[in-house]
Amino acid sequence: MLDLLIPILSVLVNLTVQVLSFRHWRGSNYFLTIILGFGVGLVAFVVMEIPFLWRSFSTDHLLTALLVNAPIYVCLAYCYYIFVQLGQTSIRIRLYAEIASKTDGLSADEVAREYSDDSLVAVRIQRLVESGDLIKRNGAFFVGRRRLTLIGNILFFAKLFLLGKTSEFDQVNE
Amino acid sequence: MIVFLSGAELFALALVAHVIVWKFRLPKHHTPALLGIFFMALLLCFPFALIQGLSLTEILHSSLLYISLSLCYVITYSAIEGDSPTLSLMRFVAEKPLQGRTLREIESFFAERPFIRSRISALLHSSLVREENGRYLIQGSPSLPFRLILGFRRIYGEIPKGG
Repeated sequence: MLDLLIPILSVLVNLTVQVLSFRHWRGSNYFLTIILGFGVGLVAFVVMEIPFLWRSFSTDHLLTALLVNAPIYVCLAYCYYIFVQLGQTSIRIRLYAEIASKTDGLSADEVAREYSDDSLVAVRIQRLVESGDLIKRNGAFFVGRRRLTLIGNILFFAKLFLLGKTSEFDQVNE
Repeated sequence: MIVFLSGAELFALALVAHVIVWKFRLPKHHTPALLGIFFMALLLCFPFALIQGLSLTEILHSSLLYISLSLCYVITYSAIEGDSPTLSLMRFVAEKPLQGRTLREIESFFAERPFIRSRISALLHSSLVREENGRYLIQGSPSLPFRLILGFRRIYGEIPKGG
């Protein structure tokens, strides 16, 4: 029963370390805090698993640790990362928070002023250039690191398979 | 091993059920429908697990594996349902690996994809926001995940604009 709690406790360690390090660095080094949180959580996972396996070692226990508890930890850590990421970059969450913060809401003009598609593009390009995913050369942008293109391609084909379209704007463009 | 197999098999079954439902008829609200399928699969398989002779601890353990995998999929699905501006931009730039893309090309690409309008529509569609006399106002109280995200954001403080 105790081994069931190991991945959950490890995710709590991940969360605590990530939040504390984020506050310590006052919002800078965001991705470093994510990696640090995941890494310390993983160490906590191994530290908790070892005595459990030491006390009652069997192939079954080892397989449970590797095939069940480790994937649970990785999945929950991934969910936590996306959860934090949503608060950071989701347009929907930002818009909702902005509307909720004002008693008389936002007008369409205010939304357009605060969240124009132009500023959306500018922020995206700046982030991608800073992270090395995009490279600016002779007035044009090129792919730097291919990791996001790979994820984009996987999601593109998943969308095509499940929804039968390649973009949420397919009907707009037709 | 039985814990892994039962959790993984149940997840695979739920995925198959999800694909069949999606191919048959796309639900109006994707995420609630997806959560419903995964939850129903868990409920329906519970008696079978007892019949197979799994202990309560094993059932809890494989359920935790199943729930973790399901949450991962549901979260990832939101990126399948709606386009990500960042990933769309990366794919657009990758289409011309030798010439690259100029800022003007990127701007016209985004002009055809009104992300802000689409996200406002999504908020209106999910009844989180209502439009009244040309203003967007909060409708009712937000769902638990929304409240959690907004609450967690306070820990992080100010976030740069631009989504």
